[in-house]
Amino acid sequence: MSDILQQSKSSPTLQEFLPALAETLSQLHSENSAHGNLGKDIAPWLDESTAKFDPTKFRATASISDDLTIEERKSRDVADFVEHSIFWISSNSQDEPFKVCNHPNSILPPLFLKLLESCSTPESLRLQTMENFSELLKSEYIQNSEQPANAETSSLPVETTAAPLPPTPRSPNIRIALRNGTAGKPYSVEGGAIAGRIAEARGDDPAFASISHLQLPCDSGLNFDAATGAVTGTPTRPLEDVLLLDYAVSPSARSIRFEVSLLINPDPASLWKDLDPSPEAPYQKASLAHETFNYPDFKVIAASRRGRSHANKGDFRDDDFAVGYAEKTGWLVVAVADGAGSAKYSRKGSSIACTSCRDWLVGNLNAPEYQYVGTSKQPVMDSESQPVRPIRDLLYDAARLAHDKIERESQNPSESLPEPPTLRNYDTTLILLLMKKMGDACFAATFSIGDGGAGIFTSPQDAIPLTLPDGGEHAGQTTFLTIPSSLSVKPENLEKRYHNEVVQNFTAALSMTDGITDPKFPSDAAFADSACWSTLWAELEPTLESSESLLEWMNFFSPGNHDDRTLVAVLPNPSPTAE
Amino acid sequence: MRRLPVYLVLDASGSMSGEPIQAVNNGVQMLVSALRQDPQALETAYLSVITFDSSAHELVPLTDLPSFQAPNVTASGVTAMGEALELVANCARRDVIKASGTQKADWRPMVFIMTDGMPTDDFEKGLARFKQEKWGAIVACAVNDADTDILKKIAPESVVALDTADSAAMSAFFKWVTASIGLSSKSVQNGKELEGLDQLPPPPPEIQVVV
Repeated sequence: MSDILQQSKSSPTLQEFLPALAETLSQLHSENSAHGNLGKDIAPWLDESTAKFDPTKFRATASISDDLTIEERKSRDVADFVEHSIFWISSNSQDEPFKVCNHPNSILPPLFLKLLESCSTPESLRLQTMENFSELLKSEYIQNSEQPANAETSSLPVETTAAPLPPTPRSPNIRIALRNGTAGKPYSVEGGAIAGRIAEARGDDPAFASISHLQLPCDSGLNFDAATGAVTGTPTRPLEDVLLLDYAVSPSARSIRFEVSLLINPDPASLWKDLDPSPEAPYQKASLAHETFNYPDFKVIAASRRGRSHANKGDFRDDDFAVGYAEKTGWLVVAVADGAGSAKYSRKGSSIACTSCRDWLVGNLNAPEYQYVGTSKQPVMDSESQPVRPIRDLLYDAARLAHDKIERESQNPSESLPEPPTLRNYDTTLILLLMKKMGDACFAATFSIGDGGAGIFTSPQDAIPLTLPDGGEHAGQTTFLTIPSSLSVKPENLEKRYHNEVVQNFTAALSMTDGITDPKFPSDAAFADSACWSTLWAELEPTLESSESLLEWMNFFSPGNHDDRTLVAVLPNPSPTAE
Repeated sequence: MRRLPVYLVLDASGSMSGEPIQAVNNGVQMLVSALRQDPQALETAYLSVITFDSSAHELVPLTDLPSFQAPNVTASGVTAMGEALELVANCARRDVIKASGTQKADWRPMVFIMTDGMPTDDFEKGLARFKQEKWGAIVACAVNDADTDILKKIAPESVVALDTADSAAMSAFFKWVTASIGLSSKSVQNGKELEGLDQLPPPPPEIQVVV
C-alpha cells in the first residue's frame, strides 16, 4: 500500500479531507445500488436517519484485533477504512488507485483520494482517530475552501470552525459551463441537457438524473423550468456568473450542489461608441455627406457616411465621392473612393482622387469630339463616328493624374502635418463611372482600382456588374490607386480595370464602396448574381427619394460590416431641369 | 462575414506547472473577457487554443468569440513544439476560408505562441509545415529561459520575452495580446491587416522585445 501512497506528493489538510470524506460517504451511500461494493460495504457504517458516517457502527463491524490498546484500536479504525477504500478502488479499476482520481468519469472526488493517502501515512495514522472524525463529521460539512492549505496536515486535534450548513454537499470536481448567450438574443438550454452533462461526467445514468433547482439572477431575463430542466428566455444584460444548481442522480436520491458558469455576451450593437474626430487633426472631413444632382439626362443621389468602426475610435470618414457633368456633351462623371483604414491620411487621398478625376474628366469630356462615343474595345457610336481618344485611355489618364496629385500632396502637404507623410499614408481605392445617354440607350464605362464596385440595372430584376472583384486570397488584400502596379499599362491590368456596357433599358446605376458591397454581396459570385442586385434594389429604391433618406438607410446594421459606406445612385431623369 | 482567426499556441509542458500554467489560464480568461467588451472583436474574432506537452492538442477548435469558453490547461510532459507548429498549420489550413467565387475570404490568421522551453521533438519538420501557411501577425513569447533563437525561426519579426512566468508578467502579456487582437480586428474592419510587431500596440514594460 505504501508504494501506492507515495505516488501523490501533495498532502491535503484534514480540513480538506473531512468534507471530501463526508461527501463521498454520502454519495456512495445515496448511490449504493449504482456503484457497487464500496457503497454497499459502507452502508452499515452510516446513520440511517442522517446518512452520516457513524464511527460507532464502523467499529462494530470493522475487524479490529483484540490485542491492541484502545488508542491503537482507535487509530486502526481509520487505517481500516482507508485500506478498505483503497482496496475497493483497486479492485474496481484497471488502473492504479491514485490514477483513478484523474479519470474524468471517476465517481470519487480526487480530493478524497488524496486524503486517503495522506491519512495513511504512519504519522497521521498515529494521530488520527475515528473519534476525531466522528466529532468533525458531526459538525457536518466544513466549508474551508477559502482557507489556505495547512502545512501541518496531520496534526490533530484540528481547530475547526463549523460553517453554517449548506443544504447539500457541494461537488467541486466537475466544471460545467452553460452555452454562452448574447444579450437581446433568445437563449435556451434544452430540458435534461444540464443533468445529462453532469451525469455523463460522473458516470451516472442520465435517464434518471435531474436538476431540481438552478439559481438564475432574478433580472437576467432567463427562467429555469424545474419540471423539464430547461433554461429559456432572452437575456436582458451581459453576465459572467457562477450559478448554483442542485443535481440528483435519481428522483429518490439526495441532491448534490454543483456550480455552473454562465456567460452572456453584451449585444455588440450596444458597445459601439460615436466619437467625434479631433478638431485639431489635419484634413478635416465631415462624418456625413450627401447631395442630389439634377442633370438633363440623369438624376444622381449620393451619400457617404462614417462607419461604426471609425465612429467608435473617433476617426474620420475615409470614403469620398464626387459627381460632375459635362454639359456640352452630356457625359456624367461619378467618382467613389475608399481611403484605407490603415493609412492615416487616406481621407485626403480619397478626396483628392475623387475631385481631381471628376474635374479633369468633365473638362476633357466637354470637348466636341466626345459628342460621340468610341472605345478601344467596342466602338459605340450613335452617329457618324469621329476618331476620338478611347474612353478607356481617358479614364486611365484620370486615375494616373489623381495618383500624381496625391503623390505631390505627400511630398508637399497642403496642411501642416506632424511629420512628413509618405505616399502610402494616402492609400485609397477609386471607382470611376462615366455615363452618357445615346438616344434610348445608355452607355456606361468604369475604371476601378481596389474593392467596392459598380453595376447597372436594366430592370428592377436585372443588373450587369460593371466592375470585377479586386481582392486577394485573404480578406483585406486589395490594391490602391497609390500603389504603382495598380496603374500598370500592361494589357491584362487595363483589361481588368476597365469595363463598358451599352444598355437599352436603363433603370439605374450604382457605384459603391466596400462598406456597401461587403454586406450586400457576400461573395464574388453574389456580385455577379442578378438576384442579389434585385434584392438590393428592392431595399434601396424607396430610399432614393432624397439623399437624406439614402444616408439614413446606409446606417443599416450588419455584423462585422462597419466600414465607411458610400453609395452613388444614377437614375434616368424623368423631369430634367429646364436648360 | 469575414472572420479574424486567432490561434493561441500554449506550452503546457511540465515546467509550466504550478503558477505559470495557472497564470496562463487566468490570462486566457482575461483575454476573452476583455475582448468581449470590444464590439469589433466580438463580431469578428474567432479563437482557438492549441497546447503542447509531450504531444500537441487542439484544446479548443476555432470558435467565435461569443461562444468561446476558456479551457482549463494543465501542465505535464515535455515540449513537442514541432508537433504544435504542424498542428496549428493543419488547423489553419482546415479552418481559414480563402477567397472563392462563392465565399469571401477570412482575414489572415494571427498566431501567438508561448513557451518556456526547448523543443524536444522534430522542430524543423513542424517549422517547415508552419511556414507553408500564410499568417497575419505571428508573435512568439519566450517565458523564463526559453530559447529565443528557436522562436526567431517561427516569428522572425516578433519575438518577445517574459523574464518571469508569474501572474503579473503573464497578465501583462495577455493584456497586450488582447490589445493586439483588438487592434487587428479594428484594422481588418477598415480593410487592412497587420503584419509584424511594429504594427501591433507597443508591448508593456514586462515584455521585452527580442526581435
